[in-house]
Amino acid sequence: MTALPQTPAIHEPDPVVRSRSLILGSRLMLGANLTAQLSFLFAYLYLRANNNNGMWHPDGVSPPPIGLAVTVLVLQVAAFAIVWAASSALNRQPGASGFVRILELGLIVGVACLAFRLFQITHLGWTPDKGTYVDVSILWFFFLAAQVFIGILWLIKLLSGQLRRTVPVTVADLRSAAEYWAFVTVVSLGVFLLVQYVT
Amino acid sequence: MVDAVAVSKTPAAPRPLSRTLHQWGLLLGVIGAVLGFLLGYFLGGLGFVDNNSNGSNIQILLAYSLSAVGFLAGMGFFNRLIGSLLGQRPPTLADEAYLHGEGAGLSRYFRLTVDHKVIGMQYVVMILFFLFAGGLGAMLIRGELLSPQPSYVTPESYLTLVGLHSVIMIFMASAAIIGPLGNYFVPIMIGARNMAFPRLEALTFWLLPPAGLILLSSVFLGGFPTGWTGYAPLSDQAVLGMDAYLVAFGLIGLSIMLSGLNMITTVITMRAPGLRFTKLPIFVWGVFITSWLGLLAAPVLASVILMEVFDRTFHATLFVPAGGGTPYLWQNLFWFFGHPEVYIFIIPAFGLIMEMLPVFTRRPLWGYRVAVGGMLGVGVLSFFVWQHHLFVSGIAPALRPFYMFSTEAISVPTGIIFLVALGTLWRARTRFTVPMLFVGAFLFNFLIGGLTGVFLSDVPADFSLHASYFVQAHFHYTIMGGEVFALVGGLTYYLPKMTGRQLNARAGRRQFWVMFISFNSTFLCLLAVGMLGMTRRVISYQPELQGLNIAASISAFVLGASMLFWLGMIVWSLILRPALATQKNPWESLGIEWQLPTPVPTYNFDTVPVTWALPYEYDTGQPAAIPGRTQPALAGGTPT
Repeated sequence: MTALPQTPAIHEPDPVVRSRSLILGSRLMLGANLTAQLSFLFAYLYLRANNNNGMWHPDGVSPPPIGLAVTVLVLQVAAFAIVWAASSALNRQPGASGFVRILELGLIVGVACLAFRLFQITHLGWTPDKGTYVDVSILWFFFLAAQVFIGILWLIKLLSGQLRRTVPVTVADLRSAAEYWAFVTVVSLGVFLLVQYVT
Repeated sequence: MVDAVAVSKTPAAPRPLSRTLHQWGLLLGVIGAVLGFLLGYFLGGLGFVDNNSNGSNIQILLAYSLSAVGFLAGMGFFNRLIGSLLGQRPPTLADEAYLHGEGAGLSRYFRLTVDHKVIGMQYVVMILFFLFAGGLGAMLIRGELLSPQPSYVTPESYLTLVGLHSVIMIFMASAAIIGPLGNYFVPIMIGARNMAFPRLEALTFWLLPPAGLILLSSVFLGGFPTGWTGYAPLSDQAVLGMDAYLVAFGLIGLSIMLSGLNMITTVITMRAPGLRFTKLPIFVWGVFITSWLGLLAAPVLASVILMEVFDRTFHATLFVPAGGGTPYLWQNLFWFFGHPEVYIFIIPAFGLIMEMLPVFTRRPLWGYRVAVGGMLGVGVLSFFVWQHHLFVSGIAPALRPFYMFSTEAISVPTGIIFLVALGTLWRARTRFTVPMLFVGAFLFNFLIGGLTGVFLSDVPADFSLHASYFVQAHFHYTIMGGEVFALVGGLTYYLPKMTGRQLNARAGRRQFWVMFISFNSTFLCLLAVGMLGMTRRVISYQPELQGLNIAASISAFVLGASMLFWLGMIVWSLILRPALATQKNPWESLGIEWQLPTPVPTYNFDTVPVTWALPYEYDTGQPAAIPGRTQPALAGGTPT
């Protein structure tokens, strides 16, 4: 140890290992996210089965307006498809910048999806004292809105680094983001079907 | 044997202003927390949600939540994200070196640092702080129980005291081994220079101090009457201290989950070339399996806490039968997290004691793969036993046999781990050093904890014992007698590597025997009073049980004193004892962590080994791997 240098030498992490870690870490996060979603699913089905005091779905409570719900879902699917397309474009031609325009479009659609989701939540005409169907659904919608918000932040961060040429987007970065959007979209589809039709 | 894979570069010029601010990270964090608290309190008072019957809990929730966010912001956790959004250049290698605490001395322990060894040491201090804070609660509880009727604590305060003691200890125990020893040694043991996500690792640590302080602050808000399990609907009706519990537990859950994610990724992607899973040190296996439990169980806790917050703040009725909800929803979701949680405590302890056993028996670990299988079995089964906590709550009778058998089945892989330990000890010339004494104590205590657990998994026995001190003593035998004994032994074992100082062996032996005997005399008495019908979480008891309670309390005080003595030994060793030689391997271990110099260089290895063996080849004396000599041109950094 006496021979150690005074000026610190620096270890630079291997980019390949970093990419693998990013993709694996992102998938593990989706796994954790999945167990959180399953908790909501359990709550939904458990409370529905119990229907204590007939307060699962009391009279006067109806599912969210189908038009708005479908709009949110379509925007969600579109945002995911566009981000996925951007990821595929970058994967085909690493280093090319053609994916940026596609990703920008994905961001805009994602923001629209979030805006419509928030509009939906605030125009349901539900209050939390109207039974447990309402409670679980509202909470789940908020949770999904938060997930879309995180996805939007992620896209902004990627685009910001790319457009300002500070941190170029890598294939692994975009692939992780695309997988995240895919996950949120599948969950949104499941929640849509459940809340609209399994009441 | 070795291959040079290190990359060294000359650092760029530092950025003085950001460095200056960053050095004051903890102070800025505190300021951020105060500002966040005030902002949250103000926003919560704007009246967009009606107060519930206990007051404005939206104010408290927002104040606590934003204080945690403000703390992290002050520490600098959002700098990189915000900088990236604003188009600032990414951190240079020099920035990274600074974040690793290069040449920063003691100040790096008080700011955001991404060196896993610094974070490990930060965990040591925090874990010990909360261990002793929780221990103080235990002393107050035992002091109160000297008398069968309330003396210096009211029944309501007693519930809060029990709740605080339990949550603090659960909080401490969830990170007790993974936090200090996992963070410090796992990267070294797998031949990595750092964790996969060093900032995330720092975040998992720095989430915990605000969580602990928020939890402690609940006493100023009336406490919480639910104990650590937070049962609804009592939690729906509780005063504002309950909100402190919810925010604190939420932060703890987040920390457990992120820590699991980071550890799993690190072990999978950062292993050195040639280090296959079949050659991983058994402690790394313990941490790896535990990390899966944390990753998959903690999000359920986060979800159920969100539901409870929704109930309390927005007048929802998820847990209120009159409104369509049910308390069983809380019980199911909480215990789906809660039971794997107790294995989050104990599996790293299994790994740790099996890591130490070969060193002191001078024999290979007997049945390495069987041991891994045992820990995997415990981990998998831990997700299928949660409803045994609901046996007396009134779950469907048809479900009871399954959960009874699944709970009993978990004793099989646990027994396998004991078999591995006994196989390693068999005919060994064991060196009874202080860490080895703790290994033996772990096996003894956990055997009692495990056997009493088999009783409790049996439905008829559980019906008569569930509300009694028998359960409390069983739990303490597993966690205190198991995990805490493993922690004390593990810290005694690893302290020479972490600090360059060794505890005094003679004093350590004395401390061990006092701790071991007083622990057992405390909790054997409590097993007995439990069998005699003394109810847990209740301040008063039958006068005829006073004798056993006095014995338990006196033993507990001695136990507390022995722990204080141990703490004093550590402080004395750090301050007054001379440092060991840098190459000193006091236990003659073959583990790679002991082949590195002390203190371990910032980036651990200058050349990463590519040929690895199991670190338990004591029959041949072959070390796990040889990390290569530290050379000036490729040095991993300045000594820490």
